Amino acid sequence: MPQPSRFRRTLIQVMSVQVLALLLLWALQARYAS
Amino acid sequence: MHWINWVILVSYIVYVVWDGLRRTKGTVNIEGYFLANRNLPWWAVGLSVMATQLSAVTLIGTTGQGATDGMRFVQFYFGLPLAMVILGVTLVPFLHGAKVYTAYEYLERRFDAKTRSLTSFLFLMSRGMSAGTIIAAPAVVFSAVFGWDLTWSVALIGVPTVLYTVLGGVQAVTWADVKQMVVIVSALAAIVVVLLMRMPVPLDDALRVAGATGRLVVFDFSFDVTKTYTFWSGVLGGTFLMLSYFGTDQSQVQRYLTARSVDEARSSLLMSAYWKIPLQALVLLVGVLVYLFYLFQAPPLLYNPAHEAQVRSSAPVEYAAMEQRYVAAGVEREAAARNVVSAREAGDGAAETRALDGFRAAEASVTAVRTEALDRAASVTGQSSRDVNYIIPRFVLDHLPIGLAGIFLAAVLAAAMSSIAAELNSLSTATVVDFYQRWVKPDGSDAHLLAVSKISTAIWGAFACVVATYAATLGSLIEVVNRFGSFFYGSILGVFLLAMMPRARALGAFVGLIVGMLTVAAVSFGAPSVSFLWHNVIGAVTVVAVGVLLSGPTRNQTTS
Repeated sequence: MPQPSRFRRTLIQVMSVQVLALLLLWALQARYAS
Repeated sequence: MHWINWVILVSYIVYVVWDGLRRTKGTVNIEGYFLANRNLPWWAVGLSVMATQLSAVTLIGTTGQGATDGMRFVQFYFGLPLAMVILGVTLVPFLHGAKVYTAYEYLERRFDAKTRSLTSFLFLMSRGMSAGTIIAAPAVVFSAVFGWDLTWSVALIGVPTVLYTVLGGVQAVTWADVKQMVVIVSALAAIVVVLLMRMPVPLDDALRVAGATGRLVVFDFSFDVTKTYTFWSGVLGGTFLMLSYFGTDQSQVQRYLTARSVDEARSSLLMSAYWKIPLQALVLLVGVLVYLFYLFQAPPLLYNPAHEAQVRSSAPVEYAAMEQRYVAAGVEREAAARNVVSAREAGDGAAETRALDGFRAAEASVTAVRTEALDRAASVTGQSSRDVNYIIPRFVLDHLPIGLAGIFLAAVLAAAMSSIAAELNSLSTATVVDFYQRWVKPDGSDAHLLAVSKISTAIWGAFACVVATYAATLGSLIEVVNRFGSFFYGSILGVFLLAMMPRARALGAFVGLIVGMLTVAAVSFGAPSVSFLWHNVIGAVTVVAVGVLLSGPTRNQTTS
């Protein structure tokens, strides 16, 4: 099993990129679909 | 189609097969044939994982869905990144570290032979049929667009794929996947560039028009289990589905078992975690841009040329009248779209609101005529029209520059081949390792098992091509198999979750698997409105609950 700290770091990195992607999609919806 | 496009398409096929043949050297045992001696770099495995999941349906069906329904489908993938991270710390180290060939082999080490055989059998049954449908989907479109007999379309896609998969094994499959991903992403990017260059109005205004039709609605936060695509079904149901698919489906598990180490296997999955949502959003955006393109360019009333010809010949006068009404409604819609643009450029908010209302009304008129045509096509041909799958192929052939159309068709072929090759390779692995070697010839020599593996791959390939050729006739059977498949996807995940619990025992896992499948079947028939994404959650949770309940407080004696 990987070190907990390493897992936390990976999880944070992956989820940060996803949050960024979702924010971009949210911005697309907010600007054009309202 | 222009001959240059054909040259590109044929060159691509020849190159993939030649490269596959080149990789047959050095494969002397089944570890090389099925797992590339567990020596592939993470980036190649990662691209292979992505290519396997991206089928031809994604390129022609999902882009079409973007054109007609918009971006909301992207919610389906919201659970994928989390699932990949969870797999990276749970199943991947278990499976990779156990040095197994199949995910189900691990279940025998942890539980017993019957749990392994049942899960592997369920995989073979479901994936055996789906390999046929993966070939059939693009083959049917190719047939309709080019007017070919379906058998030839199936042969064009199936024969080269079977050839390089049989001869080259997983090495050929993975390295072909790498090139296929490059072709697919390049083709998508090129289409976006062409669409942007040909947009007659500023992109900002065009997107506002698309937004008025609801096509840029990405998020639906309603907690409604009858809706397929919502934020919650994507995050919760999607996580379970992706855990099942990437964690327990041999066609995916085998990809990362070829990686050099556990860390490289993890990294290969994380590539999908980073890129899947942006890539899927790009695919859907291509569809939205094609919709916008056809606002300013007369679109076909029916995109499926075969259905169009049939309806035209069966009711020529009526169809011509429908076309006239469609053209008139299209002209009005274009004028309404340009009104929106003018109002925005003038900075007149009230006028923009009025123009948007006018555009929505014009859009409704266009949709009404098209719905009428689709109903007519369904009654004339006796088939569900699936016209959405023809939007992008028609756009590509009618409007893309020479060369680019060939690259796009090569990309469709690449997407189909990568998914089929992975399925054939994994079907053969499960057949040989979980059944032939386990029950028939445990002491078979390397040369013997390698020969059996190649024969098994060829038989699965031939079976997939036959299913694809008769897909229309077998429609209801395939539907039954697919539905049956959905009963056990989540349940198999439940068994793997149990495998990671020290107290779980073989009896609990086996009975849990059966109870889980029956529960999902009961929900599927008893409450058909519940979206299939929730079936995986129900199946997995039931198996774990039953398995834990039936397992005593002591650890299974057979645990390794």
